[in-house]
Parts: sequence; structure tokens; C-alpha cells
Amino acid sequence: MRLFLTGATGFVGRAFLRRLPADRFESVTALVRDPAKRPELAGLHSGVRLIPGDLTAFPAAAREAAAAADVVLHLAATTGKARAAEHERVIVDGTRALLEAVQESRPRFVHVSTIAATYPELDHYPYGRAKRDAEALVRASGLDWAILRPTIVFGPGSPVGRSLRSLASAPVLPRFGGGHARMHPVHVDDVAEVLVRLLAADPLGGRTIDFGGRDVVTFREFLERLRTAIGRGAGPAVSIPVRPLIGTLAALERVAGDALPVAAGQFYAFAHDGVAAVDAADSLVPPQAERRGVQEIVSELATPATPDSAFPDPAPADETLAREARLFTRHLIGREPPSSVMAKYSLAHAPGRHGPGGGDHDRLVLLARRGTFATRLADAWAAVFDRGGVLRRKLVLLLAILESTGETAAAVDTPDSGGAPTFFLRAARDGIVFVATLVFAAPFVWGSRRR
Amino acid sequence: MSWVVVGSGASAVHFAQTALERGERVVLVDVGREGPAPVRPEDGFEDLKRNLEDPVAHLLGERFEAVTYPGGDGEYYGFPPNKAFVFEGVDGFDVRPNGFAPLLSFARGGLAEAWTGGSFPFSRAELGGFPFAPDDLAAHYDLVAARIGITGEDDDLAPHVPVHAGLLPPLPLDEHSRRLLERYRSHRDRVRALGAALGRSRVAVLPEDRNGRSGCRLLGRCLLGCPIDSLWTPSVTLRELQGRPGFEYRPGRRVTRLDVDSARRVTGVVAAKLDGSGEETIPAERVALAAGTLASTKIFLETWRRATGEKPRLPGLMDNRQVLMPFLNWSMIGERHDPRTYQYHQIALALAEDDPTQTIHGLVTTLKTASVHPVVQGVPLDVRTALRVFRSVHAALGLVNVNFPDTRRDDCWVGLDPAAGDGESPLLVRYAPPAGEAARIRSVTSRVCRVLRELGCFVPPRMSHVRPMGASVHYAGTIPMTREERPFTATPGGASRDVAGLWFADGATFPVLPAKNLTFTLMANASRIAAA
Repeated sequence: MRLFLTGATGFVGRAFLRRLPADRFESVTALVRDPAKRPELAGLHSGVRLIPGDLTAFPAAAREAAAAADVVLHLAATTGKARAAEHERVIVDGTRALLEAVQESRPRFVHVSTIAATYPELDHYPYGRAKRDAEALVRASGLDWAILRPTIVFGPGSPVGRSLRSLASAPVLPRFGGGHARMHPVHVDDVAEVLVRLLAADPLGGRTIDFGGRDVVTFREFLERLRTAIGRGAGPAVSIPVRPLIGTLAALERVAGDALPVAAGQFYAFAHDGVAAVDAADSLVPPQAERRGVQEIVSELATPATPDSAFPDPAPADETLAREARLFTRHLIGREPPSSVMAKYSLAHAPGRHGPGGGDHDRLVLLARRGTFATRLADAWAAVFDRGGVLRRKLVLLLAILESTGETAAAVDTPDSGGAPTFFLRAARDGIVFVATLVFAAPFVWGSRRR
Repeated sequence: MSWVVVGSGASAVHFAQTALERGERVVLVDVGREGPAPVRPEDGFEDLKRNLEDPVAHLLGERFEAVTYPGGDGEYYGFPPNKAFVFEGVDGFDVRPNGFAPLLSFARGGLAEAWTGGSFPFSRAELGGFPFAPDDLAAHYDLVAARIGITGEDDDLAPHVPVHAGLLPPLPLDEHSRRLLERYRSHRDRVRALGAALGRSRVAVLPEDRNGRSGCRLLGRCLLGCPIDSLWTPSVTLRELQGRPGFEYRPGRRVTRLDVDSARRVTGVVAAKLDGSGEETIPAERVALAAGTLASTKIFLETWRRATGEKPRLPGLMDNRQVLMPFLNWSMIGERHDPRTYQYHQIALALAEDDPTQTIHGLVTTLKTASVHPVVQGVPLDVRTALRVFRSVHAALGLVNVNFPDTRRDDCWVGLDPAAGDGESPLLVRYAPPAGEAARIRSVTSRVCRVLRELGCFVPPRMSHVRPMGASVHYAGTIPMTREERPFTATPGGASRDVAGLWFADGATFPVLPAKNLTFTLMANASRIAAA
């Protein structure tokens, strides 16, 4: 049996490959945008064959591999704040291209969609619309198909998990829509298990499976439990009406395109229940009681991020880390780093270390690497919008090294002269400069995202 | 007569010492993980950064495991790499908690190898819940104080923290703590009107050389582990006991259960040997479990399961809820902190409640030598600006660790996993906070804020951190001492009512848990049991 896979390097794709028994397929071929950045894939399952390209520029080699497959697992999609046209291009046009490529060979076809495709309206949610339209293409394909609609997926490296953790850590807990929408969190390993079972099913029989975890809770309860697990304790909360927020953001998007830091569609989950119907009759789905529940998911989310051992973020090149160490040291303490600091900074990024993450895919790290001024902009932006992100982790790592090194410790921890009045004047100045830097940073950060 | 004592922590070593001093023989069985030897014991904290060949590896770890990254657990400091051995787990000891984040130690000296030295005797009111007269314990407070050396003063805290014999003069105050106490004295009436009292903390540290131990040289390395043993830890006493006749230390063994005969009388201690050479049974007629509440309870439950086939749930697990409240002292802004100071709390706080058993206890630690990066990242600014702000307020920062009392409740329990097979069962630990806890935390922290304002300090809003249950490591209450004849309890003398020849010498038998660090009382109570 031969498997053709899209979205292998994504959050669910990585979990799937981890779970897939090594001897399940005689060959696994994955369409990957940049294979050089994911060399570890080649080490799995006696070598996953990587074909560079994406769905909308479907290379001939990929067409051949897809056509030669017995089963196709289609995971690739845009996520987050992409523009509507981008969702349409990647999700709808990409699915169409893939289906056309296998129209002759007629493999079994497993398509991973989202519970959002079931929302009663998707007017301002282009991602959900595109997923819904792609489902329609799969159903009309004439192939032997299955569609899996996971609810909100959590697990190590979960993008939505990171966002919700930030929300739960906020000094004031925001409750979009009062937090009344129900959610049905599912763990990525449970999703991966269902995918492994689906790929073994022959025929698939044209089935659509809504798939959630063990428990259904409101967003309010989930965030409060997460907040407690993080150790923040009870704090103030503010209710934010979600439908007016979606309407306002949608109107702004028409003017500002994707220049906004968030998209209207990202708030749909707070406006609609995202609960999977229980289908006990489907033998391919593990019983609900055996799936991970809110307790496990919240506990894992509350634990500080640990590197994904199977897919570590690759360490940047030595010269890149040396440049970071110099730029960031100048940024923090206004002088060049001694060689020992540079060596330690680089060493912390090596495999097996409790490092900050590579950052080659992180827009704020990429922005910061451009120069001292850009580092300042990126640092200010991260302080508000990405406090747990790779850039701040790198800066904190460097700070820890600088304060532990005899030559630089004094520069880290010697007070500026003056008492309380001088301090307050300086603090006021720093606060104004910080806000100004933040505003000035916006176009640079948004510009870097569009690239 | 002889004892087999299980564990080497604060309770175990004082039980053993008292037993030895009464002419009995002691075999002390222990996992006994050891930490690295102290480096450059003559150096202060800042000297280490200059003088060590690789200070980054020493302070942050070879794998950088002591770097605290953003998005962590909200604590204001992490443990340094050389203390990692204190919390290192051991194969086969499986704990499955819910609502509780247990910290366990298999170190030589146990959890108190990483303690902050707080040694606060319980008041008579707080001892009211114990099934023996407070005077029965008083002599053992004195005895333990004489053994380990405790500094403090007879001051406004005395009504809440009784003065025992042998109290040593306190260490010199760091400048920030000095200003806080000075301000307290000038605003005493206003602070007392809030029901609060401040005074010198009681700390197990020597102010001068004594009994072969060095007096504190103000190295500022307390968190790294005092390299000259001025700050007492159980391994100090253990080393001393190892030179005494009648004492035998057997490390490398994790006690899993006791062997009992058909009359449920102890016949031996069964231990898994850490070198992988299987089990060892050490014959014993009298065993004192002092491995810490959770480990001792697990050993008891495993013994009970083997004897009866039953896996009872033992209710009553207690722990002190702790809230960390950072503050800023206006008068210290722009000052430089003195790195040559005692690093931990030098001031303690008592907050009276209508019920004297419910008195709140706080430890006031001013920021001196410390890792900067865990604090800087909490400032809501970019790292560069946050660092600049921090530099000017470092010496002005402090932290009150507010401790709450706990009581035994049915919905907080430990038990062996009923689903486990014939082998050693995982220990299930469940904890549910008491009703109304959130309101009490709000009320108490609000009062502490008012006290700090009177002391000339600012408490940043929303920066207080409610630590998860389990973080204080003051576990107690699973097999309570009581005068009532009930199963799964202990006599006032610490003897098990279920297994003959078994005594509990740690927190498992505490029937109540006042807000104070219980370690001093653990030691005194262990000594009392051994003497009885």
C-alpha cells in the first residue's frame, strides 16, 4: 500500500506521522513546500519521500506520486489570519487540483476538514467557507472518500493552544461572547489515531465524521480551568460581545485587508458551539470515554512548552546565531558580547538543550535579525502580542547567560543613578518610548507577515 | 532495642538522633541521592561568576535546564541545577495527582535540602488540635533548636511564634529588610491596628561558628545551597550521625512495603535496591516511617494491600496554600543591593484572625542576589526596557510568601490505584480546595496589601501568584494522631493502630496544619515520638 500525504509538516501531520506504524505502508510520499527545512521527515517510516511544491503549483512528480497512491491523506490548508483569496486558493483550488490528479487512479481519499464547516453561517469566516466548499468537492469527486471534522485540536505545538494560553494568562481574562459557546477540545494524538484507523479502512464508504474529545465545556470554563492550572489564580474578567466584534473586524478587513493583527474569522469559535455529534456506531472512532479530556488537555497546556522531540525546530546556522548574539547583546546592554557569551548562546540552541527554539520560521525573529533597530521594534511587539514566543525566549536566554557571566553581570544589574523621582521620570520616558516603538513597529511586523 | 528508620529528611534524622541518644540502635534506610560537592566555598555569589571556569554551566546547567522562559509556571525563581538532585524521581514510585502538584524527594536529606530554613514553633492554640499537651512538644523544640541552631528575636511575633530556649541572635539585616523593620517600628500602631505583627524571621542558620559548623559568612548563595553548612539541612545531621556508634546508614534502597506476620506485626522492611539487584528484606521489629507524608503513606498502603487485599482511601491530605505577593519599597528605588547578605527571608509577618488557629503567616524576602531573568520577563514591557526598569528597582523589590492553614477534609485523599494489578500500585492523590478559599485569599491579600502600604511599599496590581496546591511541600494529615480508637490513625505517640511495631514520624500524623512552615514541628515531633 502506498500513501500520498499533504500537510505532513503541519501540527496534525506531524502527530500523524509519529503515530503511523512504521510498517503500515510500503511507501509514504509527502508534498512539502520546503523539504530542506524538514530533513527529519526523511528519517521516519523507512524514509518519507519528500516532493517539493504546494498544491496550487502541483509539480509533475507530485501528480505522479498522488496518482500512484492507494490512499491519499489530504491535510494541507491555510490557517490563521490569511486573506480570503489565499484560503480559497490553497484550500479550495488545492483540493480541486489534488482530486483532479487522482481522478484516473481513484485511490481512497481521506480529507481532513474542520468542525467550523458545520457553523450555520460563515459570512466573515473565509477559512470555514473554504473548508466547507472543499468538502463539497470531495463528496462530488466520485472517489471512495471520508471526511474527518475535528473540533479544536490541542497538543504539543498547537497554535490555538498557544493563543488560548495567552488569553488565560492575561491580567484580565477576556470572555468573548461571555464565554458561553461550547467547545469540545480534542487532543492531536486522538485525531492522529483516527486518521491511522481511517487509512486502514477499505472501503471508506463516503462517511463524514465529526470528532471531538471526551468532554464538552464552555469556553469560560475551559479558560478558567486553564488559568488555574497555569497558577494565575482567579482574576478579573471582562465580557466582550463577540458578534459586534466580528462585524467590526469584518468591516475593517474590507478597508485594511490583512493588515489587522487578528481576523474576524478567528472569533467564530466564540460565537458558535463547536461540538461533535457522538457517533457510537462508527467503529473507526475510539469510544468517547477513551479519548483525552479537558483535564489532560489543560494540564498539558499549562506545562511550559517542551520541544517536539520528533520534529525539533532546527537550530539556525552558526553565523545566524552569532549575529543574533551580537545584535541582541547590543540591544540589551549596549555593548558587544564576549566570545564566551556567544558560544553559550549558540550552544543553548543545539539539540538536547533546554533552548529557546530556532526561530527560522518566526516572523519576529526574522524581523529582529535585520538589525539593532529592527530588534527593538520586534522586542516591543513581542512584549504585547507574543510574550511566550521564540524571540522573547531568545532574549531571556541571552539575559540569563549575560547575568551569569562575570564580564557582563554588572551591566545587567547595576542601577542607574538617582532616587525615586529620577526613576519615575525615566520610567515615564521609557513608557512613552515603548508605546511609540510599538506603533512604529506595526507596519514592519505586518509587512513581514505578508512576505 | 533497635529501630529501622525509613527516610533521611528532617523528621528522620531527628527521630534517629533522639533514639541514638537514648541508647538504641538505628538502621536508616534511604534512597539517598546525593548532590554535587559545593564549589569554591569561600566565594560569594558574584565571585562565582568571575572565578568559576564555566559559571554559566554552574548557574544555568549544562543543558540550560535552569533557564526560566516566558510562559512558565508563574514562579519568581527556579531551582539551580545543583539542587536538581533534591527533586529527581526514582523508578517505580508512581504518583498520579489530581488538583495537586506534588513535589517528592529521594535526596539524602530529603526536601529540606532545598528549604529556606524557616523554623517556627506552633503556638499553643495551633497545637490545640494535636492529641497531646503543648508542653510535651516544648522540650523537643528546645532540643532540636540546640541541635541545629535557630536565629531569631523575642519580638512582636512572639505571641504567634513562641520563643523557645536556645534562640540564637539573628544575622545582620540587609538594608531593605532593615528599612522595612524600621518603618514598622515607627508605624507600629497603625500596622498593629490591621491585626498584623512583624518581627525577625526564625531561621535555622548559625550566626557564628558552632559545633564544627561555620557561622554565616553572608555569601549570598543560600539558593545555590550553603557551601559551608551555616544554613542547616538534614544532611548535616546525617553526616554527624554516621560517626556515632549504633547508627547505620543504608542508602541506595527504596522501601516499598513492610513485611507483617498474621497478627499484623512488623517483621521486616522490604526495599528495592537501586543498583537493580532486586529486593532486600531488612529484619525489623520496630519501624519508624519518616519518608515524608506521601511516601510514608504509600509504604503503609502497600503493606496493608499485601496483608489484607484492601486498597483504602485515606482522607485528610493537607498542604498550605501559598500566595506570592511581590512589592516595591519606594525608599529603596535607585539603591544598589548588597550581594553579601543572607539571601532568604529575614522578616516574618503574622496576621491575626478571630480564631487563633487560623492565624496567617507570611515570610518577607527582599530581593538580593538572585537570577534576574525570571523577574525581568514578568515586567509588561519589552525585554530591553524591562531590564532597565528592573536595574533601578532591584534593591527595592521584595516578596511576601503568604501561607494559609489547612484542615483535614474527606475530599482530599490518597489511595492506591484500584485498577492496578498485583505489582506495586501507583499512588492516587486528590486535592480539592476548601469552600470559600478564593474569598479568603482575596480578603487576606487585601490586608497584606494594606500592611505593605503602611510599610511604605507598593504592591503591583495583578502580580500576586496563587501557587498550586502541592507547591509549599507541607504535606500532612493522611494517618492522623488521635485519642480515638479508629482504623488508619495513629496514637498520640505516633504508633500505627493498624500495624503493630510501626510508628509514623513525619507529617502523615498531623491532625491539623497551621499556616506556618511545619518543618521545625516535624523535627520536634519526631524527636518526641522517639523519646516516648
